[in-house]
Amino acid sequence: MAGIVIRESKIVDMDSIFANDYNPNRMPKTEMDLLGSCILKYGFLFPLIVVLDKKKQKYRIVDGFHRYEKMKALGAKQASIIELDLPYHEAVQLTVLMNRIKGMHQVERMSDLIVNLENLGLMDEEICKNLGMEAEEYLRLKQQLGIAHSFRNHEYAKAWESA
Amino acid sequence: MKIYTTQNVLDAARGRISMLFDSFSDINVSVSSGKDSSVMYHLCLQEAILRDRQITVFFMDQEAEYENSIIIIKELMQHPNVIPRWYQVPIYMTNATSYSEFFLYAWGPGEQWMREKDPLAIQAIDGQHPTRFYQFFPWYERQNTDAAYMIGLRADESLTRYRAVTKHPGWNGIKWGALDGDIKKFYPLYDWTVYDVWKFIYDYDIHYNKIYDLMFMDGYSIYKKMRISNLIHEKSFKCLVDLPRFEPQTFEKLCERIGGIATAARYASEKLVFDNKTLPKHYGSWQEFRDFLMQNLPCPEHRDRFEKRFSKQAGSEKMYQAQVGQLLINDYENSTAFDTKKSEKVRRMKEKWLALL
Repeated sequence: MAGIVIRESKIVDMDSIFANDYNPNRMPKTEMDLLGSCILKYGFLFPLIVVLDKKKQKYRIVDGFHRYEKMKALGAKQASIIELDLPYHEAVQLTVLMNRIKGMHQVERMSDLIVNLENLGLMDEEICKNLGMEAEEYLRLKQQLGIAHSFRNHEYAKAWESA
Repeated sequence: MKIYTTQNVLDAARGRISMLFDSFSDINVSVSSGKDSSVMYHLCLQEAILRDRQITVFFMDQEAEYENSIIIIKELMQHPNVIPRWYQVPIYMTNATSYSEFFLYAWGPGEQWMREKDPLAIQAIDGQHPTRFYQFFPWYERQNTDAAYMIGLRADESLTRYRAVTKHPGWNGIKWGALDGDIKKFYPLYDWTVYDVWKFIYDYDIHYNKIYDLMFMDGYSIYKKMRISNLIHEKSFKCLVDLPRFEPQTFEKLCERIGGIATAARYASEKLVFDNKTLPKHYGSWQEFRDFLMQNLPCPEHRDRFEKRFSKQAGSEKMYQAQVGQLLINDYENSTAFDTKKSEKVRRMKEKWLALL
């Protein structure tokens, strides 16, 4: 682990933080709502990554704009931050980097995970609500019988000829 | 106009296939690992087993394929009643995702292929053969003009398919076939709906491409979007967006194999890149945007071809917008051809047909 810096976070006033004006990332409303309930349930888990803007004497956000917005909306007075000392051009690039370095859910594993949760005794509605899924999305992941199974009750259509 | 009969589509298709088995000694099925061609294959195979005969099964392997597709193809090719014609020969594919690597030279000698060649496949062809994908099919069909070429096209897929399967009579005046010189093509599933296809797959417990289940789990519309083709096709490369979540290992192999894949996967679902639906705000008109792309995107050789083609086209904003679409996917070969007059004609025809049907 030589050379890897482990950063400590600290707690500061929300008033001392401001958003950058270049972040291309957008978060849809459903995910914003989920973020809110997540914060309320588990607390503020990921510190904002910030740099100190020397002119304004405030922390400019590098990563965590949506967490910051949600905290503001929830009326939070403080948030945790990790402060970095970076030139502007590097901060901009780190913003993009932080947006990009996120994993994706493999569809098949996701389906197994849902079935697993159900086996642990959770109710359908509970899983849907907690994971922020719509009923159809959930049902499609949950039924592991395959697409053809959905058509089992179909009756073959009448043949036709073109005239 | 459609005239309905008293038979259902399954019995009717069996009748059509049986009639062709009576008349042709070589029944040749083109497969893609997709659902329609899988049904075509199994109906023909069932008939072949009844008659203790063999069918020829053709698959053009483009190297950049889903792993799940290859699992299906391997299974189809292994049956004792099947003569496999699984081609894994060098072929140039247009790479719609990259401006610096114009082709995937699929199965190119000395290149790092995405997977090993299969012992069942035809790995080399003696003598001349086309090295471009679209020329390979006609070449293959000309090798045996006595065969019946069975294709799983269905009319309900689109209007063009409706025309393709019903317009020109084929061999012996059959309406669900086509004659291409002396090559005889048949579409015995022309009247099947997507429901019928899945019902057959369910009833006969047919092992189908797992990509369909992943698409289904992922919320795809059952009726419109589910198409399986190779991975870098001009018309379907948006499947790259899903590939990391469907087959992460295939995605990584593809990234190593050719350039542009990661970019396409990242942006294909977003606006601006690869898409000509909204004009980027920095440009006043589609013409302006097109001129910018012409200056910056294609290599000189391709630019000439774009310029030559575009110069013959009308100078309307609608046309410039269409040209932008082609520039964005580097379609210098005009694979996604457009013709505003024609599309207007098709639209009117569609209305007429919808009124009739």
